[in-house]
Amino acid sequence: MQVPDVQLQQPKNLDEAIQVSSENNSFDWLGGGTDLLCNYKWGINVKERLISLRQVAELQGETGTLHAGRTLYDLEHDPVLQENFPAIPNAAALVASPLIRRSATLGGNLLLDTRCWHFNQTVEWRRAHGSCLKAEADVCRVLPLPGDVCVATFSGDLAPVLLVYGAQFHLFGNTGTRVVDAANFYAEDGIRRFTNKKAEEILVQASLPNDAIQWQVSYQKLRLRDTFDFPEGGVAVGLQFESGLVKAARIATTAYASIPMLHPGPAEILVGQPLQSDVIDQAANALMKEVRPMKNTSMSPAYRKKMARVLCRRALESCGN
Amino acid sequence: MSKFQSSVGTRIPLVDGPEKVTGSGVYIEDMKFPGMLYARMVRATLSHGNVQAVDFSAAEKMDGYIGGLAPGEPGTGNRFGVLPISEDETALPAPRSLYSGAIVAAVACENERQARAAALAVKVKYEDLPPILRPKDALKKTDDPLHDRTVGGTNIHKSVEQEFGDVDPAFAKAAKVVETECTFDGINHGFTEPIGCIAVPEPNGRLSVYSATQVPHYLHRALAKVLEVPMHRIRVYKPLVGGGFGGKSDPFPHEMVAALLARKTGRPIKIIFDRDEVFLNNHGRHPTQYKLKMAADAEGNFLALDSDSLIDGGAWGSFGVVTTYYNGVLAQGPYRMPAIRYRGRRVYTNKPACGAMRGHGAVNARFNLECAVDEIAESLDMDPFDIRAQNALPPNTTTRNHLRITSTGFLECLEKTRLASRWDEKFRKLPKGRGIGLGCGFYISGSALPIHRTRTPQSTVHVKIDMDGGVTIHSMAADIGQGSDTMLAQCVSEAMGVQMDRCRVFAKDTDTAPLDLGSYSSRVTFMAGNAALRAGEAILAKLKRACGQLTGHPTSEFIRGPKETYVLRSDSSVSVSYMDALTEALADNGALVAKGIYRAPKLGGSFKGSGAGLSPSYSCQAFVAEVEVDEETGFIQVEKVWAAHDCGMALNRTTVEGQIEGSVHMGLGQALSEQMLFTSGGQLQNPSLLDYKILSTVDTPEIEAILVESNDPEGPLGAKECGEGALAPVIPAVANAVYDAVGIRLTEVPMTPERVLKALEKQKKEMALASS
Amino acid sequence: MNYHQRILKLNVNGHPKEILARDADTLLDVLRDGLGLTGSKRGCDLGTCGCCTVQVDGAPILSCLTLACEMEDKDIRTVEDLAQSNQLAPLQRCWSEAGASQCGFCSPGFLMTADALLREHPNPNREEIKKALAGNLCRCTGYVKILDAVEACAKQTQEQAV
Repeated sequence: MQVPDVQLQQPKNLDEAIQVSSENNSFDWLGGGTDLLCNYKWGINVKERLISLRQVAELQGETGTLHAGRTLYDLEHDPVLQENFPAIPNAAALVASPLIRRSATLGGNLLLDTRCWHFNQTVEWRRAHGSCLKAEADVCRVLPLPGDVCVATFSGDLAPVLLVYGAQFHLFGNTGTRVVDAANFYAEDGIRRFTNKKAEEILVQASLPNDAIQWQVSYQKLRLRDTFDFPEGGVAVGLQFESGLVKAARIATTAYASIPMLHPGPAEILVGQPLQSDVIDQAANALMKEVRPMKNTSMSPAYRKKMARVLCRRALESCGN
Repeated sequence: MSKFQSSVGTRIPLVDGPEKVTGSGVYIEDMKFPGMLYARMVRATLSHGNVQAVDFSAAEKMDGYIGGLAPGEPGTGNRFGVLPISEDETALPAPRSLYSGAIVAAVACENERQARAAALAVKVKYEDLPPILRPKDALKKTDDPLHDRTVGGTNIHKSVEQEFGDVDPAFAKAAKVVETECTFDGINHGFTEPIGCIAVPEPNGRLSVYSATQVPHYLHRALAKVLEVPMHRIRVYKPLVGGGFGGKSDPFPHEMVAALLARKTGRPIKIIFDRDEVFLNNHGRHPTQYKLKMAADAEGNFLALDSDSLIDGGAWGSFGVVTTYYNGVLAQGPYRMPAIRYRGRRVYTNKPACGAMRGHGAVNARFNLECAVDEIAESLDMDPFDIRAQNALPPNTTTRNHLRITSTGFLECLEKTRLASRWDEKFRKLPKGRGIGLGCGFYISGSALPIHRTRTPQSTVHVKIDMDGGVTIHSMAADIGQGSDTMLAQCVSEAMGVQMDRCRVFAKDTDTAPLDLGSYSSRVTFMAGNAALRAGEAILAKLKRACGQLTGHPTSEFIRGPKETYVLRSDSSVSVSYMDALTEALADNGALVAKGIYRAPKLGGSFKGSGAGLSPSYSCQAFVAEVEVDEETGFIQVEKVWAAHDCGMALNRTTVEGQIEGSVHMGLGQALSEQMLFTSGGQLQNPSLLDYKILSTVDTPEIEAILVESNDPEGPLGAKECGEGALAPVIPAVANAVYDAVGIRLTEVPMTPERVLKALEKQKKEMALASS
Repeated sequence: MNYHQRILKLNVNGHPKEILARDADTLLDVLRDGLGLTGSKRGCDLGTCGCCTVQVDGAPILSCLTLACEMEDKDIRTVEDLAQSNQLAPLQRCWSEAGASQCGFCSPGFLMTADALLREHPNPNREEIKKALAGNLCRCTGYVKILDAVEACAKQTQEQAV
């Protein structure tokens, strides 16, 4: 396979990156490349340029930070994160394979392109099948909805964990930096993907609010193999306790929709309650009722929906410890 | 030390190990030739259609385009196929294109980028034809079967019916009858090295074809047929091959395409498949629907077996006729079965062809049988080990369907696995959710009957020794990673009584090496190993004669001594070194050459299909799997597999263990996670190693290979197969373990979490109904 | 010609190399086709098998998913660099002796990952080895002798250090 003949540009800092991005030809930002280059080799939505973020100084970060350029391997082994926000390195360790994690970046995982088996295929396959809305055709093969909405599945593992921590994303563009809540960042459309990011903006880093350290967070991932596989469903839960009762709760999912999302309804069930099995079951059941997985991953939607309950329960149980 | 030190049973590193660990070994993609072009395939975008027109005009204008190949051009419509009885393949559609992704045309360009672009620019016009996608649809009569010679105007490729003994009366009087009905998804070999070849036209008009193949000889034959040239004008060369498992054991359309393009353009043509193309080439394990009925008496003796298999062959015949037989004929071993009935049907469908895959036909049948045996055992309150031991085929017997059994270490396999797994402490005694299960197996050491009816020996090995003392071995046995080169060196050096490192094996080139049928059906150690031993013995005879000449003692009194010497049987102080004996033997003779051949003995009955399943010897297995089932998610966690395999004699412990370990890993993949999925339109949905799920290091349990050696009377130094038999048993072992753990009998393979969960939910419902 | 290319200066196996490469070429493309270092293998070209693993600044990296032009000023090591002066490295010897190569196609990738592991963690247990190698697929061995080989090499190194 080959990457189509793109031009590679390698800016050294944010200003240069934004400047380069404003040139005429179409482009994609290139992080670690472990997802994008696969799609490029399959001729999926190829642009004329790749603007690499690898050398952009402001994205590199250091131990303890959540800069977009940090590799998942670095996050996995970050002692400061392990100490204070262990769910983040734990979730990082669950992504793909150890080799992918050496190159893959936090930014790349947070901005991971949505996935669907009608879409993530070779160019020849798509031609035979008739391609789809997200690539070369006009129709969604999964769930034709009015308004050309794409139901490709968001499959990043880190996003739900950061949503539970209440993260904010720092974006840099023509007009400088702005900060958005991760919870408002994603758009429920597998093509549009972001409500709150322009194509030419760069995700610089995620930051956590001051109270993040008070959350006990756990992430449970459903996948067939213990490596390589994207989530078929993922549930992150966060709990704060006071006097033996749940003071605050958050539940977020990934791989159940085109976006990672918070589920306030099921989370609310936990608030003011002791973390006992009947309460846990109630919340988990409520989550299961809410999720609507699409028929576009390896496992069936029915099974993934059932598993939402199990993932949620197990995540809550491990928070309680 | 005054005795010859045999290498048998020791641990021998592969003779080509250094190449492999330094990366200097040459595989097909590593090869380059001057003026070489890259060819890319144009592939069908529909499941079934007649190719009406192929338009190269846009491609022809593109940079680097040199030539193309379209249906209708000379050679593209010539039929070939690995089995002479079902040569139904053509290089390109003639004019029928049989599956989505089939090769329809090809382009050759100066470099790979150009070839990819050009292939995408070729336009193909089809006449749409209705696809046959489900086996049950292929059973129906049709005006337009997919191939010329099908059964009764249907799309049945092969139908087999066999009956031995009195089946119905046996069922009528049986104390226990168990019926199983199971379905199996298609499986792909998943070798890490993609398929590829390079066809090189030689200046003298010959054609050399380099290919990652298990069967250089069959490729050689097919090329000659398709190109319509005598075989001596073609040379086949096999470089290092990165795994085969039956997925590189046919001559393929793309090899014909490369040859035809090479002839047409006059330039070397390289074709290397992308991973998705490897999946589209397939020739993997047939999706199967298998019904089995088994009868036993009140004491647990097996009385009869009645089985019916429907296997989905996809677009072409491949080895399918054999697969159809193997689904039945090998099912009853290693047990005594007084009455056997088998009906097997293989159908053509508009999907990638299925063929021979490790365990070939015996795997899916084995699952049914081993689960049925467990059910019978349970109904009689017998231990699964005990009932199997009770029904074990003894050595030196013939089965009801005329398979000649010589050596069998089955009882020892059972004993060793039972002990190693601590079965008696665990069976039916582990906490709920944890279970242990037994699965056994039986497999051929090569087919006794060659697929081409000639009198040529199935394996021939040549040995040449000259004044440098090194031993040159020529064979066309294809080393695909199983270590056959090492085995040949071991057999020859063992026979001669010299160090293995004197041997250099040349098993790559049909111009220089004598014929061997190739690496499939687990025939190589048995057949090429025997041939190698004979060649070595012939050389030894010459060296012994030289010893006699040098010492004046009788030739027949010399035996192999220690440290590369030959000594007098009665007086080991009379000793001649190998080099001295060699020098003497070379005098006035020149280089020593010798040949060893192997042809399987005449076996079996004289009924139709009697050749299928016949083998000069059979391996057997007893495997135990210990599992933990997560009842909430349906995930099966295999904790450990104990795998006792009767290999006759472990010539090289390391490689024998390696084959068992690899087979178990592959079997576990089929058991748990691997499946080829198709869209409703017949397109292969998951042609990638992300979506086709092969077990990684962290998904694979501990595997303990246990070697049993029953010392086969006809095997080379007692050895028999160890390459395929060790796959099948692990799948039912897991299923039986799941039953022990949570009381459900799974009938769909792979036993994915979803399928397990469904079965658990069904069980809950049934238990709720029963108690209400 | 309307593609983008440049003269690339790479440091491969301790040697500076200059090569004409397209912007779109992966490191695997350049190593194999540009520099003739065919030891690194192409099993899937999509990061799903690990056969293309090389080391970049000591880390095991999938060369099929890395653009060559991003690799200047890096220390790139391939399997060809394990043996020195025609002597197999201890890991390679352990690999051969244990029977960790059957067809050998996955071996270069595994070796580079295992070598990187042993440099970072000289004494891993079997579980840690499994986890580190979870990005490399093997279809021949069932991983048993691969894990044995890495353990043996680690043990050997420990014993020699004492």
